Amino acid sequence: MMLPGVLSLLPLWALGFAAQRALGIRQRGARGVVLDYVIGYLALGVMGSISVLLGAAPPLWWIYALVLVASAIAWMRRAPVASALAGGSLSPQHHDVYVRVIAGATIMVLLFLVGTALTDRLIWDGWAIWTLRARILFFENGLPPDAFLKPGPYEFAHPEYPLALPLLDWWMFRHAGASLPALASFAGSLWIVALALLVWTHLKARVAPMIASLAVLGLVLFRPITEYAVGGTADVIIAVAMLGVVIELTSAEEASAAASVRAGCFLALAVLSKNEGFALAIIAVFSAAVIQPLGGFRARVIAAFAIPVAMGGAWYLVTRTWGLDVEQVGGLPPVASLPERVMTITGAFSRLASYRSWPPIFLLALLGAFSAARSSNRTDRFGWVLVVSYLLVLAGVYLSTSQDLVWLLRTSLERVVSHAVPALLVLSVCAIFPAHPAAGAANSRSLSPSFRSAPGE
Amino acid sequence: MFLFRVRQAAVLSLCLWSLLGLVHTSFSFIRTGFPPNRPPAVGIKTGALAEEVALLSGLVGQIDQGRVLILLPPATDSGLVVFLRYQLAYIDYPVRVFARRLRQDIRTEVANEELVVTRTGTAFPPGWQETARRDSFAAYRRTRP
Repeated sequence: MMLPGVLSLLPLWALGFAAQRALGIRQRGARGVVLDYVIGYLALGVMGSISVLLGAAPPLWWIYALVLVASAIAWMRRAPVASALAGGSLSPQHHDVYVRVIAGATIMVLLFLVGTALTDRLIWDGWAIWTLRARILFFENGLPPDAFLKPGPYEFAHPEYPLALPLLDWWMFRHAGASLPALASFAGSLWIVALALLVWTHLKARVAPMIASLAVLGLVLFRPITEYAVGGTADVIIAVAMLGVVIELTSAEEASAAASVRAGCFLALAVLSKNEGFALAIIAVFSAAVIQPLGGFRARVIAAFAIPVAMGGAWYLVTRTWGLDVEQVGGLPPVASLPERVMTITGAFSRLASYRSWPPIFLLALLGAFSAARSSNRTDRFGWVLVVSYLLVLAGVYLSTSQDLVWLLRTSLERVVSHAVPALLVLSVCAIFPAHPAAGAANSRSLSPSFRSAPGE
Repeated sequence: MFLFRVRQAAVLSLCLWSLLGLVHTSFSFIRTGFPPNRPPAVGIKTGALAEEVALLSGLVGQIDQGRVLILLPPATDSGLVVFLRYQLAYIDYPVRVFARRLRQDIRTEVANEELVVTRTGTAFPPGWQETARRDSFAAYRRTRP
């Protein structure tokens, strides 16, 4: 029963592939493949959410019809592939033995993660919040009206959360003919692969292959991301979305309308997956306004913002109209409690910075921020402002929450801060290490040449 | 020279990050399986609430096995009953009761392997979630050959 569920992801990928080709925004290589999947996911999320809000069954044949239509348009237009700059795969294109070893280890870890996910690895929230709604969609062929009640029988499962991820799980359940939790775990593991591909393709075009491969290996071994990904929550999707936005909007050499559309798709990915995604989309526009007052950059970001608004606006509008507010946000707390809350939040962040495998990434981020501050590249600063603003907004949510602050921090801080880790990793590495002259080329060497030249700077 | 040091520190950070990640992941896998699965086959052992749930769900025999996890339900007992009925309808484990949402008017305590729900308290005891997970895993492992 697993195989049909796994294979059911192929039509979604094909839909994204055809849509990108039809729009002329598709890149060659891994980045193109990742966005193919993202766009298929978005199509299912948008159509499914609207269907469910209207009280109808989630779309099955409509998706297949869309695949056919998009394929026909793509075939008729046969638009050229946008760029080969960021193409590539995890296979190293050079002869550095260390890079090969690290890349091999990375692939082994990824295979382990995907293999592990072929059995049921859902964690509590994955089971009780995300796949619960997928199971209801599967068994009821839709969401009953009381699924949107607060208080109500499903309140526990966050009825205000966007539906794209439950719909993806439903899609797999529907093809498998059973609500197999392992399918949700498997789908989660694919987002880790997407993260690895995005980081690798972005970094290998910019820094020494050794650095790029080390960064990817560290990322796939970073358990706060992998655990929740395989565990079936939407947190890894926010991480993919933030990374995608940063990559698309900070790749100066790719500044184009196509990059803007791709960034908009990543923002829509966030908006349709979790409430934090909506905050991310707003923060992206805010960051662009602050950092890029001139030129076409702001217009590009605003144009990109239109995509998530168009795709996710209906869900947010309708559910908020129904009174399904975000319960973690409680408004302004009493002024007298602010110092204590600030201390509690600061303490929690400090503890996190010294917890398990977190210290190196915090140190790397500090080094990266320091290096970026010395740079005059305003496009890179956009990425930093985006990520730091996101973390500040998270801190603001904790500051204002009406829930038990200590409990909320203990149960969510590591998970939500990890949203920003892939983007921070990419920004930091690009800021710290100089552009490698042979990056992406066949004759790339190890890190050592960069280091030998550095003292003379 | 300074930038050189910065880059050295960054490389060390990346190496250390991978190493710590490997250690963390490996230990977690050895200890609990990776990633920590939710505890299967848990149930409510004692208490009026458990009986009510058992009567509603027809799962008395299975509820007698396993240990306690916690449910934070809508604020009323009737809400709780409805909630559990829906939950159990979509659950393929024998019994599952969820511990997730903090309600100001319900306090849940885990003590002596019993679930106690009262309406007077304001918060969970510290560490309840970790305790519940650990205990449930222990119970699960004891049931395995």
